Order: sequence, then structure tokens, then C-alpha cells
Amino acid sequence: MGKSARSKSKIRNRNVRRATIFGPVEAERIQRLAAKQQVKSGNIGELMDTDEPAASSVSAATDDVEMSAPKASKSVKKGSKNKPKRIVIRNKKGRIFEFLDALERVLDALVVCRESMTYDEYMTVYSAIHTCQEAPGYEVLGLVMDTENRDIFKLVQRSRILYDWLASYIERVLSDIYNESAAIRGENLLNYYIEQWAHFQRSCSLLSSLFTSVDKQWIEYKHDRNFNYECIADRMVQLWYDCFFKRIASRLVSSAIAMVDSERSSTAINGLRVTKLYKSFMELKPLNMPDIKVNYHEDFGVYIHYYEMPYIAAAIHYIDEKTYSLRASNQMYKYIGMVHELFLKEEERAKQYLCSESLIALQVCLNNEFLIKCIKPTNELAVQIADTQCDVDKLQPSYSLLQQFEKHDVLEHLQNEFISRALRDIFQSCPYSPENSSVSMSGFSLNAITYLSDKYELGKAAIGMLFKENPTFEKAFDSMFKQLINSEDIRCRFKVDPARLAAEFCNLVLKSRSTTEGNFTHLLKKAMNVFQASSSKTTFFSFYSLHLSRRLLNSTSISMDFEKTAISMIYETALSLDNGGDLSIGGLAAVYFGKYRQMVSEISTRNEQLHDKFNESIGYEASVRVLSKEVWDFIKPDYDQNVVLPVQLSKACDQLAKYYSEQYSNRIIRWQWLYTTATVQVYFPNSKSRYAAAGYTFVLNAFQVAILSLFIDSLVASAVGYTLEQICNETNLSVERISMELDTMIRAKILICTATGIHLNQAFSSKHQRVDISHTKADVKRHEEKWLEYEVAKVHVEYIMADVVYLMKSLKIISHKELFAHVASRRGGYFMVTMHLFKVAIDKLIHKEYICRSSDDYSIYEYPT
Amino acid sequence: MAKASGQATSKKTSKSKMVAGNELQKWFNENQEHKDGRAVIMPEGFERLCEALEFDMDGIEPMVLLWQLNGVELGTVELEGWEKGLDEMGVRDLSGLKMAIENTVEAFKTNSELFKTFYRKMFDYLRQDKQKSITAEYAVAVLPVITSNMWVFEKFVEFLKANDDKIKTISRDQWQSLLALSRNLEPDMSNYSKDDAWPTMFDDFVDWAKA
Repeated sequence: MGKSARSKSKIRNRNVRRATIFGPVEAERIQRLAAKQQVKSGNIGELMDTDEPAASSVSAATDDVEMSAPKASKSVKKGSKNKPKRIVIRNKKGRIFEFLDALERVLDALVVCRESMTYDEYMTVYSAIHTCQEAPGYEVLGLVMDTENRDIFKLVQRSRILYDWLASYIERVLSDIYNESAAIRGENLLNYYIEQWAHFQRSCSLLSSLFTSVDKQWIEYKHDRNFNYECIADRMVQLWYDCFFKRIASRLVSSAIAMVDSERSSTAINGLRVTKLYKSFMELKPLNMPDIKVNYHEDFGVYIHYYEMPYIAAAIHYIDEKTYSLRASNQMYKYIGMVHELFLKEEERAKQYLCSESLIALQVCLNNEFLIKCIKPTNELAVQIADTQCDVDKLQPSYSLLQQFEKHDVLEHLQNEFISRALRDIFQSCPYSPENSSVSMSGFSLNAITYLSDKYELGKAAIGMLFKENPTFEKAFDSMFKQLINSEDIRCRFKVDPARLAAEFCNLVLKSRSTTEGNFTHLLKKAMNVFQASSSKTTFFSFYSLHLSRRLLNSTSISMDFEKTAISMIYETALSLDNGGDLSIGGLAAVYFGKYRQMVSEISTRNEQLHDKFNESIGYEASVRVLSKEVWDFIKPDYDQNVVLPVQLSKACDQLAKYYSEQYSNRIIRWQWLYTTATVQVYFPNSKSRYAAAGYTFVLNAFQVAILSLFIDSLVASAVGYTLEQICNETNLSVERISMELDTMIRAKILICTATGIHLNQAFSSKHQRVDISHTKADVKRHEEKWLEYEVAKVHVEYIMADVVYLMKSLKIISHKELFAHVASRRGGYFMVTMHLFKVAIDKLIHKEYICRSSDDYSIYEYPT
Repeated sequence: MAKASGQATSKKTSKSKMVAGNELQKWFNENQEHKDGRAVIMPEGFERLCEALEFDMDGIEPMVLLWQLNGVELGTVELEGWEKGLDEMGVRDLSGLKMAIENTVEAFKTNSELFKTFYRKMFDYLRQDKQKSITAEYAVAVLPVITSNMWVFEKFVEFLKANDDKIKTISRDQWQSLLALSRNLEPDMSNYSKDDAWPTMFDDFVDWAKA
């Protein structure tokens, strides 16, 4: 059990301490005070005796404070030469102290923390401060107030003297304290400081309360001295900060950093000390200090400069030392891994030793110091990973740090690296363009789309793993892939739009017998990856339409269900890209989606009436389909309409056309002979093969039927044979068409060419009874594709013309480049607006007088009023 | 306005000097024909006028004369245009007319706006049946006459000749832009950019010229 403060032993011990420890100190203090007040030095008793007031002194505001003030003016006159009295205070035991002495004792207890102080002592001084300031006839620091009238001027003067005295007292005492700490080092210094800090925190509020009553005259004083402090207590706190904390700070930081460094080297330290130190620094931060600036070293605010900067510098130094050898030997994987590991440790450490406000500063500095330097090598590794999808775990840490600050150059580096590497690899993977080599378009599309799509899938997966929490990087990767697909490099090198390759790839998948339910969606997804990144959506749709038409007309599609699934998949992909607005991709896709569905529907359903009518006319089994021109508009119109067919077939066709026209409000049937096939049974009298008797079954297109019928009809009459010119005249076909079909029939050995002309091969023989030569020739296909390219370009020009007129209506006058930019951004999703197409559109519009050039400047367009 | 501005010298003669019954009016009356009820000088008559003025029919002067007399089409001048033109030039006899035309041709060298107006009007004279374009053939024939010693035009005519199977017509825009091109293009064509607003035909022209 602790003893009471009034117990004899406590009192005795206190008296002993007072006599042996505090006594001498007090004596010194009194001497100092006396010197200042120019009185002779002496012990407390002497001074008390001298200044002791008369027994009949008037009680002051409190019982403890007494002032030897005269009772009346008379008594003052009677007194010894009108000598001012000193203010004395009496404690509970009756001991009497001079006011300033008592005040100094309280302040010592509050500031120096060397002596304990009771509540009574504190309150006594508190009351005395209040009383002494206005007590008339008594001297406070050499200034005596008038006995009768309260002189405001003197009141102010007296306060000022008191303020000055307090300031000089604090400065002196704190200088002593600071000097005391000079010999202390290391952790002891931290301990010492932390004690002082705790004491300071406690004392601040007490000081503030203590001087409340003397703050009355503060405004005048503050104004004179040009201070910002609201009261004397604030001034004292600031002095405390300036005289002690500020002076000791740099030594403390060195000691603390030395301790943290020891901890980094796995030495156990008392982390609590360091933590308290940094926390107190933050709390000590004066209000008028600038906010923390964390852009980079040079921009650090003052506060950072004193406290955080040495800490951060130590952390950078430590990491640099640890990783230098790895970076120097270019072991980037290990380097990045170690940097990341150390970053995490430093962050954890900083959470303990730095204030939360300073963590960002540390992070930014470390990022600037280490990550910016390794963006390029990191990106190189990232792209390697995107290629191979290995070691993602090793790189993830580094990127997880990089993405923290999402700097533009991180993305830019990644983008440049990805695109240049992808371009290099794709040109290695697909070295020959189908335009200038024997590589087929479908074979090329298989390679190119597979490469591009795999690149996308791998890259996307890697980026997803590397930046899983940051959609900015995923969007950036999509944008990179778009740039790659639409790059001028690819277009120039391939000489084919990647969108067209995607359509070719779809065609291949939908025709290939190796396509199964299992791999169909996966394969189609590859084409969709390129489709969604391509800016030439209309090119894709057009070529897809052409291939779909061919597949449906030639019955080369593997499955109608697959066709339907593919159409839906394309539509859904397009819808997912839809950004709304009047020129949305979804709107464009909907138009094509409708067409595709109708194509599939028309090819799947048969008009029974027409079918019967045709069979009735022709006299043998035949099938006919009527297709809408506006839906099947991507197959080249057949210009060989007037081909001379066998009489029976020709007659049946005419009858059907007439019937159809009557039935369906004068609609006209236009025959697509190129896509017409016939199965013909032919007997060759001189053939010695095993099928000679049964005859051969030829699958021919309409033109081949026309040519063959010519030879069969004239078999008996003409033994001389036909010349090319004769065949042209007889069949009414173009020379190009005849040449092409004759070439096929001669190669198949159905016809033979002799010196006298072209004859039917009477001795035809083949291993197979059924011979199909109806397939469309590659040359025809190429011709058709060229036609389609031209048609697509025409459509693009029309789109641009519409846009230009639309824009010019509102803009009225605009420069060439601005108008191009407007149109390019407006049509960006549909197709890539090239300058050439744009200029062609402008030429047409000027010619049609929709717009005109300014008469002063050829590069300014005007909308005619 | 541009037309008038180039004839500062010829316009010094005051309007009052133009009187009915002068030599040129007499000449018109003698050579006029009637078309759609209007008095006109037909191409044969215009050729006679050029002969009277001693103008070479293969030179620029007949073109300038036609323009100054407000010709309605190639070689055809109406009375109204004739009188207005002579009035503006302030001439009343053949010698005065000859001098005015020669002065205008001379003014082309210094007054680019005047030439621009003349050059643009030429397109209208070369159109057939009010079509929007002129044939490349006409352009090949006329351009060297009206733009002698201008290298871009010379080169362009060569280009038209070399591509006569592809380029059949010249539009008004191409015609007018050609003059702007001739004034902008460096001799080595290094300042030509396909991204500029020039008609697409000029892209082909520059490619052809550089090849």
C-alpha cells in the first residue's frame, strides 16, 4: 500500500529532498531572479522576511494569496517612503512565497519535469496570477499599479512584462534541458526525447489553463510583436518546440534511422521507441508548415525534408545495395522479384515507423527510384510471358507495383514492345502474302488468324493475371491489339485486310470436314477475336456474306446448324462492341444478321409450287430455288444471261420465268448460271472402260452443259470439230468464259483438242463413274472477290459522302483535315476511313455540287447556301 | 471585277467614246447571224474576226477575245455580250480591240487574279452540251495554249496523254485545282502530300511524274 502524501515519512523525505536536492537549485534560481530584479541575494527566508506583509493584510481573492497592500492612502503615506509591496502567497501550511518564486516553481514542475507539483500548489499559483496582475500598489516585476485607480496603461505594461518574463524563462529552461541531452546517444536519446515528448503533451493543456487570466492583454502584445499565437500558452508551446524539439530533431532522426537500419540487418531493436518518435514528429508539425509534397525528391515539402526524407533515403540506399549486383548482371527476373520483396518489407516497416501520411511519399519515391528504371526490361519480360504464358508469377509482383501509379509511359512501353514483337513474329509466321505468292487465301487466313488470335488469347490471359485488379491495363491491352490489327504494317505486308482474313477463316471452319461440335465454337472464337479488334467491320460482313452465299449455293457448308450458330455468334460479338448512337456497330450488325438469316432460310425452304412447275416443264428431276436479289447481293451478277442452253432446259427456264412473273406481281427471275449445276448421263461409244455401257455421270455447271450439249447434238453431223470462235457463236458466251470452261473440260478429258478443232473425246474413260467438274474456278472466285472489294470500297465511299453532307449541313465551312477527322471518328467502328477514300468521296460531292471549295483556299470546303 | 481590273490601260478610253455605228458595230452587223431570234457571231464569223485582228487561231488571243466579248460558247458571241465587252474595254475599232486583247494577255503575267478568272471561264467554253466535265482531249488541246511556259501544266498534259485510256474527263474541280497546284508545287514535287485536299487525280499525277 502506498503511503499518503501527508504521512510523516513522506513529509520527512520531501523535506530531506528539498534541503539536499531542490534546495540548492532553488537558491540558485532565487539568486538569478534577484540579479534580474536588482535586489541583494539571500535565502528564501530573508526575502520572505523582507517582503512579509503586515499581519492585518487584506485578504486577497483567495485564502492563499495575500498582498501587503495599504489599507488606505493614509497608511501608504505613513509607510516607509511609499515603498511598493511585493505579492506573496501562502500555502496551506502557512509558508509564504514571493509570487514569482511560486510561479517559477509551478513552471518548473510543468516544463522541467523535475519536481512534483500538487493540485493545491497549481491552484494557488493560478489564483495568484489572476490576482497579481491587477493588484494596485504592489510591484510585479518592477511595475507598480496605482493604489486607487486601475491604470489601463500600466495594466498592459504589467502584462507585457509578465509575457516577456515568461518567454525568457522558457527559453532559458529549455536550453538547459537541451544541453543536458547533448551527451546522450542512440536509443537513450530516443528514450529521453520520448519522455520529454510525453511530458510536453501533458503540460501543454495545463500551461494553457494556467495563463488563461493573463491572456486579457494578449491582443495588444500580439499586435506589437507581430505574433500569430492566440495566447501566451501557444507562444510558450512554440518556444518549447523551437528551443528543444526542433534542435534535437536531426540528431533523433539519425539515431532512429540507425536503429531501423540495424533492424534491416536483422538486429532486434525496440521498435516502439522509433514508432513513438515518428508519431510525435507528425503531431509536432506546426500548423503553418506546408503540406507534404511527394512528387519527387526535389519537390518535397519542408516537413518531408526534415523527417521523412532521411528515412526514405535510407530505404532507397538499402534496397539499392541489396539489388545492385542483380541489376548490374542483368538478372532482371531476380532483380524484379527482389525489388518487389524489399518493397513489401519496406512498406510494412514504414507502416510501423512512419505516419500514415508519409507512406505515399515513401511509395512514390521507391517507385520512382526503382520501377521507372525497370519499366522497359519488365515490359520485355511481360511480352515474353504474353507469348509463352509462363512465369507469370515471377513478373506479377513487379507489375502489381507498376500499376499502382498507372503512368502513361508504362502503358506506352508495354504497347510499343507488344506491337513490335507481334509484328516481327507474325511476319515470320506468315511470310508470304496471298497477293504475290502461291499461298491460297484460305491457307494464309488459317495461319494469320490462328497466330493473331493465339497472340491475343495468351496476351489477354497474361495481362489478366498480371493486372487482375486493374482494368486500365486490360483495356490498354485490347487497344494494343486493335492497333496491331489495324496497323498499316500489317495491311501493307499482307495486302489483305485482317477483317477479310477473319471472314476467310470462318469460311474455312464452316467448310472443313474436320470441324466438330467440340472445336467449332473455339475455332470461330479465333476469328471473332480479330473481327472485334478490326476497324473494318463492313469488310468482314461483306466477305462473310460472299462466302456464306457460296457455301449455301454450292452446298459446301458442313452443317446448317453450324451456320446458324456462327451467324448468332457474329451478331452477339458485334452487339458486345456496341457503343450506342446512330452509327452503332449493333445497328450495322443487325442489318447483316437479318440478311444472313434470310439467306439460310431461303436456301433451306423450297417453293413446292415452283418446283413442281419446273419439273413438269423440263420433264426430268430438277430443283430450283428463288433467291431475293437484295439479300444475295454479295455474289457477282451473272453477265452471261444469254447463254444458249439445251432447248429443253432453255424452254423450261423461260416457262418458269413467265409463270413466276405472273404469280408474283411481275417479279423478274434472273438466272445465276454460275451457281447452277446439272447431273448429266453421257455415253461414249468408243470408250473401253468398265463404265462404257452404263455411261458416265457428269456434274456440270450451266455453261459446261451448254458447251457439252453442242458437241453431243452435233456428234453425228460434225466430225470436224469446233473452233473457239464457233463455240462462242453457238453458245453465246464470252470468250473468257468459254476459254475457262473448255480448259476444265479438256483437262477432265471430256473434250480433246486436235489440229482440226475441239472434239468430244469418244474414247473417254475414267476410274470413277461420277465426275464432278462443276466447281467454281479459282480465277472466277478471285475475279468475284476483286469485284466485291471494289463494291465494298464503293459502299465505303457512299457512307463517307453521306457523313460529309451530314456534317457540312451543320458546319457550313470546314478545313479538309478537320472534316477528315470528323468523318474518321464518326465511321471508325464501321471501317477504316482512309484519306484516299475520303478524297474520292469529296471529289464526287464537289462534282455533284453538294459541297464546293472555297475560292480563296483549295483546302477549305463550303456548304453552298 | 477581276476582268476589269486587268485592263487598266485599255480602260482609259472613256465610255462616251463608244458610239453606235462605229467600225466594230458595223463589223458585227455585217457578220451576224440569227440563232433562236438573237443576233450572234457564229464560230466562222469569230474566226473571220480573229483573222481581221491578225490573231493566230492556235494562240491564246482568240480565247482571250472570246472571254472579253463575253462569248456564250466556243466561237459564239451574242450582241449583248459583244457590246458590253467592247464597252468595258472602251474600244471602237479593230486596232483598238487588238491592242486591248494584247494588253490583257500581257497583264496575265503580272495579275494572277485576272488570269485565274480567265482560266476558270475557259472550262465553261470547253464544256459540251452543258456537261459538268470536259473531255481530257479538249484539256490536252487547250491547256498548252493558255498556259504556255508553266511546267505543271506541261507535265499534266503529258500525264493526260499517257493515261488517255483511263482518264477520259476533267471535272471543274480538277480544272480549277490544277491552277492552284501549279502555283503551289515545288519543281521536285517534294511538297506534295496525299493527305492534302488535292483531288485524287493529282495523287496519281504526282506518282506518275515522280516515277
